[in-house]
Amino acid sequence: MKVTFARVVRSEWTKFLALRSTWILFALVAVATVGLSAAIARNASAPSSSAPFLGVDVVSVLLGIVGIVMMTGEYGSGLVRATFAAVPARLPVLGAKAVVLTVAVLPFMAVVVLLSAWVFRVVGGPLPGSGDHIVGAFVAPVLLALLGLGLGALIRHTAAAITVYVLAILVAPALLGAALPDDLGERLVKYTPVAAAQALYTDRATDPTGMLAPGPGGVALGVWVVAVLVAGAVVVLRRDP
Amino acid sequence: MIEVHDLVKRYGATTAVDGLSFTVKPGRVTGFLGPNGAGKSTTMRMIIGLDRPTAGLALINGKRYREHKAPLCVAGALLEARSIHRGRSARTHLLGLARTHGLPDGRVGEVLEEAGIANVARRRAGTFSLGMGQRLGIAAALLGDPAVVILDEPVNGLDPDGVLWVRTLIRELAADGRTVLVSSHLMSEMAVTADHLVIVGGGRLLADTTVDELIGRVAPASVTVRTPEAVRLRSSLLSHGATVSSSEAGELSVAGLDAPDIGALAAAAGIVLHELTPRRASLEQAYMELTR
Repeated sequence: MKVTFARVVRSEWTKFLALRSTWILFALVAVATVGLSAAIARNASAPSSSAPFLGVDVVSVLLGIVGIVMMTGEYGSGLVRATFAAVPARLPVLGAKAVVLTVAVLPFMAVVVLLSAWVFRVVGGPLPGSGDHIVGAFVAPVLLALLGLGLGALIRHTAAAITVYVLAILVAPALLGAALPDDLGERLVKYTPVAAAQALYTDRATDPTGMLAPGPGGVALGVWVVAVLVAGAVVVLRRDP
Repeated sequence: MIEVHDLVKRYGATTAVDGLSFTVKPGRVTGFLGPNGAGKSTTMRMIIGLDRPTAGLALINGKRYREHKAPLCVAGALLEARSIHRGRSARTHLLGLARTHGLPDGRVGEVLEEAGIANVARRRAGTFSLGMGQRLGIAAALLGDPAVVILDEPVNGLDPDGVLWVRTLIRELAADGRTVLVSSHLMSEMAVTADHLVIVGGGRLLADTTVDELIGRVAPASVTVRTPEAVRLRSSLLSHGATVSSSEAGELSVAGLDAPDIGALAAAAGIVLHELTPRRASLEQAYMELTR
């Protein structure tokens, strides 16, 4: 008997699937994405490239919360003491949660996004945008979920972490343009997590200066995720649970 | 074996644990006593590596807890506050812990059975009573079949059945040769379960001793004697080196001689005794004396 990373992943997988909230949030995500896609296909006259995946913006918030709660649920319930007693190195727990989140969300979102695209075509005709956007639409939420996990580790408190996530992800980018002098805000906005995520599944032909290309967008979002996860890891190691 | 060396924990300006050193040996129950806020829980969390000591060192079987490859198989702990997610069942809670170590799933069934909560194993832990939560916590502590068991206030919230179960369990664990450290603020509980006592107050060590020795040290034993010939007996006792006090006519409280000696003295002098009762201070009295 000994603790190995693979075993910690297996343990986290067991814990993840055993929570009712996991299944409820995943069901909401599926219904919201596919439902919005169908509604938009029916009603939009000249749909933009991101139209089939507008639901992804919504579910990114939900999945971010899934990531947050994976960590803050441990602290809030006191379970973290049992978890860290079993895995005193602690970092493997955060790593395993990241693996579980990716392994659960990536294939799930791939199915949901493909289903959305299919529904869009059935209801509204040909799909705008390119095939890359389909990939971007299911990879972006995974990265935002990981960002949530990092925030959860960093902040440790569910309500506070969700507040920060919503403000930082959704509200702050909208304020940047107005708050900063000249066009500085406009130039920065595209590097914020939500704008970088949208760059992965939106055709930037409509807004070539306001949005990054998918490649740089992916890199920008990746940098955010790594930075927040590293900050979260430092807190996990340093602070007494 | 648990070795605590000069352990210190400070939170800002307050010092919770202030240079604590003691050793917990296998094969006996060591009671960890002290008033609330004495630093017991903090010390236990530092032993398990949850709290980082400001200074000092806590070793389990010669190594820091976190240096063990399979920590749950070395030491199992029940910590004071609940450590269970309300949304998971008792079974999945334990499965989650067991799988970090590759323990077989069957082991989860065994400890659930042992803790007497197998019948509620699939219920969400959020619906558990305090006592059931406590039993689940103890089940988690036993999961890895550890040689060292650390229980923080294990009888908290338990009904009389549960209290009896914990007492028996603790004694059995020690009889198996395990190292058992049990904290409590209830003296009466420790009086019946502990062989050895580590007493702390204000984060410092007050005593590291046995129950008998502590009681003897703090409050010497006395013998209550009732006799119609108190005056004659008193002078006889005094001449044999005893200390005698009296609170009412015909009743003597004797220290320095034990009951058989007093009986023999009385018989030799032909004095009739109506009562001859050895009095022992309770652990509670001794403890109050010590922590005053």
